[in-house]
Amino acid sequence: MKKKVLVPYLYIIPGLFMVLFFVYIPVVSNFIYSFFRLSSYSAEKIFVGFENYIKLFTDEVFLIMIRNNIYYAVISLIVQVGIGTMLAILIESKYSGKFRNLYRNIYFIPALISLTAVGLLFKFVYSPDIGLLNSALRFLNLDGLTHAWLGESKLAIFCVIAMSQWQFTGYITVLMVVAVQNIPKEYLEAAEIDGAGPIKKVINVMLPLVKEQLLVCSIITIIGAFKLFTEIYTTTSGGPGNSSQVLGVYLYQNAFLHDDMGLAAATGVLIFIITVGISIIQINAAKSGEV
Amino acid sequence: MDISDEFYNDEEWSSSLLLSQVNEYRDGDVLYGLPFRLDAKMFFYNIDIFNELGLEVPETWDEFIQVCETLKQNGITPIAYGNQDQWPSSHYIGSINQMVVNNETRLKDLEPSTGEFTDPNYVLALDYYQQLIPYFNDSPNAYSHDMARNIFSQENAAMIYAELVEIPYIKEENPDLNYGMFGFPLIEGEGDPTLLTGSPEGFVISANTKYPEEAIDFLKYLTGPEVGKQEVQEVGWFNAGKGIVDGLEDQKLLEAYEILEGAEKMAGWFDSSLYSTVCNEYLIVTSVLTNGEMTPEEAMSKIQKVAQEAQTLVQDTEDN
Repeated sequence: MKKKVLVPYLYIIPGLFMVLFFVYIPVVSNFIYSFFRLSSYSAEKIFVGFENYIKLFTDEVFLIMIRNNIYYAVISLIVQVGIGTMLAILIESKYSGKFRNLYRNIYFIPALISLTAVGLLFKFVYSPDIGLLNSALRFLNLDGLTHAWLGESKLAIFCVIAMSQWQFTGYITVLMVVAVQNIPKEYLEAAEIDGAGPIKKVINVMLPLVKEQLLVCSIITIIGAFKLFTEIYTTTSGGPGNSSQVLGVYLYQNAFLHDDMGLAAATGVLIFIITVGISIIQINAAKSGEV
Repeated sequence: MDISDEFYNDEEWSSSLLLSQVNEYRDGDVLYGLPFRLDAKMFFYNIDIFNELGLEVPETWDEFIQVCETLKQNGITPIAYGNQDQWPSSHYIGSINQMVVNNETRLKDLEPSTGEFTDPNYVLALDYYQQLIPYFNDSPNAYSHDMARNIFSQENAAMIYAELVEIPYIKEENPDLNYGMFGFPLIEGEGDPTLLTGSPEGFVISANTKYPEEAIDFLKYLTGPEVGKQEVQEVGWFNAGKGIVDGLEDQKLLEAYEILEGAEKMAGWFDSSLYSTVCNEYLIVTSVLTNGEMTPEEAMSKIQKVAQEAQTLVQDTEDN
């Protein structure tokens, strides 16, 4: 009898060790490191209390970073989750006809390209002289709308955000397509019999039924927004000046350029708290489990 | 690992290399490495464009501005410049600082424990940099340095401030480009105008190595004239070996080697010479200044603040 109880736990152990060593222990040690001044070249750690946090919160870049991460989160929610859901409903509706699969693939393909490649690609798209965007504007005789894009402090962050929308709206679309497909046909038929038009059907029947998936997509998107790194690193590295700086790149630069591991750890803790906090709020707000 | 005994006592070895370049790997009496790839920053200029407009190679700052002005009036972008990655600005600032800031002050400020950057000449240096902005291509912050070099290679700009190691790239981008080189125009100031901006990359040997003799032998071979000849023939880069350009036909490379051979003293890359946080701040404020959103005074006061913080950072590390 005893053996039977033990066996399932033995199966879990390898996986448990993996997450323990690669996720939970690093999270805890990162939290501890954030109270020390330490460098990767010396074994010495100096306890500094909240100094790293004070440095982070009083850095004049701090507000810029938070603002940029929030811009990214809000715009991604509207575009990726909002438009992504609309696309999913349209793809699954009778209007898409026999091209349903083709649409799905077309929208999904950008999400398959490596982030670094997309970053380099868009550096060309945004290039002032030879870039695709300015060339297109000039072709349309809209010369007045041409910009230096990534070179302008006020525009750089939005250019990077726009790039991500291009890449990931299709990803959310595909996730939502699965949810829309799972809606029982009976509900929709019942709604039709009751006289609901297409819009009423979407708002009153479909959206409540895909709530769970919408929640998952929103969490993925917002967490992604605060973990943002590669998109910025491969395009502007936070520039011009600090105008497109975000928490992820700041963490990286402090850790590996300035060897200030304590400050980087504190930034990591902040990102962790923000993402966990947002997940908890969202899961509670949506009262997960109920339809 | 200190290799000075081995190097200086071996007459044959030490006489086979350009000592002015080897010195870049010396700290006081200690020789801790040897150069593998020599480099310096020069203005490259399009000879055809210059001839067409009857322009002469400028030697002083005023002549340089005059040349830029003439080019601009004739509808030609005077200087191709890409500062998207932010380090290219530091090569301009570094070169200007060398001319306008007193050499001792400059070296003192590069040392993080004593760096202050309070000398008013640093502001002056940014002023000079600012004078060039109208002569760069529009929005340098939107171009990477590679893109800027392509603008120059494709003859869409008359000049570029570039490194000698880029000669092979230009050859690839436009083999027929007729161009020459000149040093950073002379600015009258308190600095040392004889310094050449740039420093060689090289190899050092770990002091913990189990095989010091073998490592030294290998370094001697790798950084010596034999490999140097092959290096320049095949990739267009120089090491410090003497006579490595014998039999070389590429005029640009010969010209470049002459510059390096003639250089008495190099001034290391400004960004690499600065303490990391100070460097970061310098790059950031220069990037904003390039966009016309900050004045040189504001920029320097920000740098001074970070330099002050760096002093305490270094102090703390030393105390412990």
